[in-house]
Amino acid sequence: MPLSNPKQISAITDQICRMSPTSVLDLGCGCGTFGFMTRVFWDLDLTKPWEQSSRHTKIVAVEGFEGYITAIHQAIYDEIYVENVLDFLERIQDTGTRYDLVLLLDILEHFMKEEGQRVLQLIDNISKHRIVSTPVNFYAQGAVMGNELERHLSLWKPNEIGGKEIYRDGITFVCAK
Amino acid sequence: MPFNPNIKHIPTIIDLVRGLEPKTIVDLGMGIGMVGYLIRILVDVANSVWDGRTVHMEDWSMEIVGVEAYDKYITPVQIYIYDRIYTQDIYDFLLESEQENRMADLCLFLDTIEHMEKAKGKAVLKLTKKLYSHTIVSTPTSFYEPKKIMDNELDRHVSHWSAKEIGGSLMYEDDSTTVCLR
Repeated sequence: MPLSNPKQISAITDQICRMSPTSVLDLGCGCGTFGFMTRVFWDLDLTKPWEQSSRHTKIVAVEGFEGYITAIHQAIYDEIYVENVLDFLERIQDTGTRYDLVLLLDILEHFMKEEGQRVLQLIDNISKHRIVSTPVNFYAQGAVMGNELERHLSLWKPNEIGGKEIYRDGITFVCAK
Repeated sequence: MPFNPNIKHIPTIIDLVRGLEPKTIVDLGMGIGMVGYLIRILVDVANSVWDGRTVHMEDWSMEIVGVEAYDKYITPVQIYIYDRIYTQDIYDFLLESEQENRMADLCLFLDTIEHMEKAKGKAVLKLTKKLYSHTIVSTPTSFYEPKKIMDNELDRHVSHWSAKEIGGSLMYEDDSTTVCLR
């Protein structure tokens, strides 16, 4: 789903602000909820109107399904790449591109284990920090809106993801490092 | 501030909106539009996607109207998310709505009542009761004076409200924010 568990929003937003990023990569941004929260809660200069020039954090989106991209993304993100997350990470790994923080929120479960491990490894190679959320239990999800990338393919435990577990409820858990 | 920096109460508000299933929402004092955005995405777009439709506005089914007196808070995000935005004083908007019989299923009156003197806040609450089937009200649990921003005098806190004064049912309370459903 291009959406998020509302109950984890506070913990993730709080963690983003604690990490003080100047560059954020939102992998599998979906409807852009955490791009919006990062822009508003971390980046927004409250002494100026909303405009590009008042931004101090570069927020980049990667989304594999073009059908999720709306005018909101254009307003929130500095760059948007319509590309599979793993393909994007493989493509940039040797370019020297780095981000202070990578968000992988409700995305990992859409990869088979081996591919997911590769995604985590590539993220660690290009980032100082990462925040990862994924469902607590496996549940089947098919091709929402005809998007094959929406299928759930794996279940992950915190020790497989690494970092510190910062949030858990009956739906999702969140790890940060 | 154009948004409440404490967002621990947001899941409660999202749950309330999901439960009430409003078709029409008026967001009084929308500020930066954070709650309108989250309702549009996490309730309206979510319903759309579950029903096999798209995330795009032609498939949205909720009408969300924003009211904000300070036009510098209006951004491209609100312009996209809200169906209509009224840049005017909340009380004036409510008086016009009363005259024109503009009702709605749900009113959001979030982190705004503390910016009003008691008499005006009570008058606004009275009008929301008349115009809207339900109103969600949030306000700081304790009085504090925020930093002045954007030279917006409307951002000053001038009153403190208890859950009893707001009325309705207390739905959430922590050290920072109190939420009532009327």
